[in-house]
Amino acid sequence: MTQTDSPGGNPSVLRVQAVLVTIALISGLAIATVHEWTRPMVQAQRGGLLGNAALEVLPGAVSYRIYARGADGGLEPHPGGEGAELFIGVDAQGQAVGAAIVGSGMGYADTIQLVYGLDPAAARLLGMRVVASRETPGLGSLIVDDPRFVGGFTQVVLQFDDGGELQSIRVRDEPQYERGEIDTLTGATVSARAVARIINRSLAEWLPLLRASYAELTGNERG
Amino acid sequence: MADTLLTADTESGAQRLRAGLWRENPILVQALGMCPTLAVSNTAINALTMGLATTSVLLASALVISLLRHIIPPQVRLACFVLVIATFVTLTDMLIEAFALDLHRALGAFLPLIVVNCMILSRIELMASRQGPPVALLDALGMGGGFLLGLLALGSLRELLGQGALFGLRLMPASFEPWQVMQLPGGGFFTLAALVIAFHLLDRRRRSTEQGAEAAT
Repeated sequence: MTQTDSPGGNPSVLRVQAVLVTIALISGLAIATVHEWTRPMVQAQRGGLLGNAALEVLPGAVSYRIYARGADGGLEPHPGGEGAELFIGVDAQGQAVGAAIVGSGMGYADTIQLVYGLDPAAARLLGMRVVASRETPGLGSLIVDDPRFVGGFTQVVLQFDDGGELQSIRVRDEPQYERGEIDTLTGATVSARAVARIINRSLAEWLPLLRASYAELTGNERG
Repeated sequence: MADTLLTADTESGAQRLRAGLWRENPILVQALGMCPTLAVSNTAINALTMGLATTSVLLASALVISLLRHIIPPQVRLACFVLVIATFVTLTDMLIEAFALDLHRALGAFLPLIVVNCMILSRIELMASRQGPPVALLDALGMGGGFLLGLLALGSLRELLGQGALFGLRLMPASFEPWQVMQLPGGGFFTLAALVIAFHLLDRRRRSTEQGAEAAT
């Protein structure tokens, strides 16, 4: 392996590597700088999107109170923006109309972030909105705007076994919403299943917490 | 096409600018970058954003590569080109996400995929890595402008016929029934085919007019 420029004009391995590494370093520095500059703006916009989505998946809600899990696992008020995990929706009379939960997980192309609404009895879903995804436009992107797929989430009844354990939401061609099933998407089965998986995992985490704290959270709001 | 590629090295910046806009239009003549062309041209605003993003990446990459053309060793030139292009694509992606989140969501995975747009790599390899910044920039501007105009024509037609609107503003009468197919992927192919036919008819007429004028003199 030569370390110096050869007489034929071929650059040395060292020079080749130096050029490549220098360009990579400058590229990395530029990306890191712009990322740090734009991150607060993106987070603020994402926070606004989460709030808007929460109002959409909680029919009747005109405002909300935001919570996130603290270091000890308990729920704490959150100022909004990135990191918000739970929105308690409140109607014009000050009554709690349900909880909107932020969930995320891997889709076909990248992470999908969504918000789904849960009724006060934690027995049925009230809606679902995808807030961030990079699924294939025209196929996987149908999880965002396909009326049948998105609309189905307003009718899904959660299923529990005899022991009170939550049963997973399933993806079906001909779904029976009252049996905890949602529509599939032709050409985007992976994305539809990813949405179901994200909600199932999120429900498994949040249902026990909500059952324990819902009355207290809604009581705080009324107060 | 092959003839024009062979003469590209000897053309002036102004000639390269005009070539990108018409004679070597990336969409209507070279058929490059068809993936974003067909996928995100369902509305005029999506097409405009994708066209501007691609043009800015091409301009910035052409400038940097042209300035570094004597430094980059030929053995790693493609790696360096892709590194520079990927950097500008990532920066553009982050800036659009920060300033226009709705557009960023609409364009989805196609913004990062600008990095594999063969039009950009071909301009960098054929022009920017061999020419000085003025010619490289004018070539990039011509090709980017040609790509933008082609994409905008596609997006405008598809939005007008598929939604009866342009840039979100309703233009067609209330009695107009939108052609749903124009919003589907198939509509992209139909519109592109119609545009290519129209372009070649116009180009043929222009050439015959020029030849007639030359013969008369």
